[in-house]
Amino acid sequence: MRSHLSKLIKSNNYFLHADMWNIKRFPLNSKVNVINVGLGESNLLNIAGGIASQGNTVFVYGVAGFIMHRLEQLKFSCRDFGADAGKIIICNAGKIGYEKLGAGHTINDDKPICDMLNIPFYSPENIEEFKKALMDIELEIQGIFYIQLGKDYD
Amino acid sequence: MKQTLRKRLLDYSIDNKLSHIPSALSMFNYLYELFNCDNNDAVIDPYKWNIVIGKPFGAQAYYVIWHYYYMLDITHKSYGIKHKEIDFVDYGEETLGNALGIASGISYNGKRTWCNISDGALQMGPTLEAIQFIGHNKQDIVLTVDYNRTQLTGNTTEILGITINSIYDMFYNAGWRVYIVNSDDFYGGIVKTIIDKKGPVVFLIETNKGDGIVEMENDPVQWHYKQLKDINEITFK
Repeated sequence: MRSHLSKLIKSNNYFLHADMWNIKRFPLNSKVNVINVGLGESNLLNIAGGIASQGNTVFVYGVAGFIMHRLEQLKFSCRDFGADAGKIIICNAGKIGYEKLGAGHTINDDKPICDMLNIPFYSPENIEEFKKALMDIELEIQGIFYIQLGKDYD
Repeated sequence: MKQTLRKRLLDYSIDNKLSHIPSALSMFNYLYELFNCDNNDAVIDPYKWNIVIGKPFGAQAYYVIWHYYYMLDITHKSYGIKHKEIDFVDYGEETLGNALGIASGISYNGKRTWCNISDGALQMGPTLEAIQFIGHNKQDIVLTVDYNRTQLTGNTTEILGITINSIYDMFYNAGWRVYIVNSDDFYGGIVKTIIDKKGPVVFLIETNKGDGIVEMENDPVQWHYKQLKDINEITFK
């Protein structure tokens, strides 16, 4: 999935993450603006909102349990501000396999949060669904989207 | 002109039934110094800089200055600064703790960024995260902090034990240039010289909530939300 997602990330796009491990799994174009904001998901979302507000496309990659519970920043900085002018695509770090790490890494409530905030939610079960989700998002000029990344189908 | 605009700030507050007058007076002097265009001396050209407002309340201080110098239409404006209402404001909302992080994001457009926040915002986690990120990445951001030591229910130091020296150290250790300056000594010409060098710089401006008005300076908590109905209710120092 990550290799397909990487194809969607163009050279003038931004790829923000909060000190995520094994970021090389994304074969990104060297001209993509990759920013590691450190361990600060609230700040990550504020920066994403600010960058998107200038008409840019921003990919956010992080552990859903930490990203999606920053409701204030998701709502006010990303949905209501940044996504009004640009595009923000949030991708979680993993759909399965994180449970053993603890409550912060579990993602059993990302869909209710997206529903509550009216953020389009994609949870592709196979590579075809994943490609369709990417195509849907690519067609949009602005907005905020959430993709639940699963195991790698590549 | 400064005194004329101060008087206009009070008249505008009365006419539009606005509160947060002490907050507006608190930052009036340094806002004037940043934006007054007399003698081509403005520090900030709002059409060339990114403008991020993390202290939206007390909006009448911005309004009267921008109305005079930048012909801002100030009819039917909101209680606080809203970016959707002013074309040269990139961000202005009441989610105060997020403004500095948003300023950080906006500054990737390559323009210089001015962000204005209150000392109360320094209690908020996202502000602290942004301070570290901006300092480390040497972003070109000029931050002004209205350091009036007063928040809604009392003194900032009494409520959370924060001192201006600890704030100084926090910024300095994160890689910012830091200046503690009294509001009366905040002059545009000096500021221009300091910000000639790019990179993150913060001015911790020691101000008085309700500056110049005896009743408001004496009881800023009572006056935080109170509306001024008549100019004769107050005493000028």
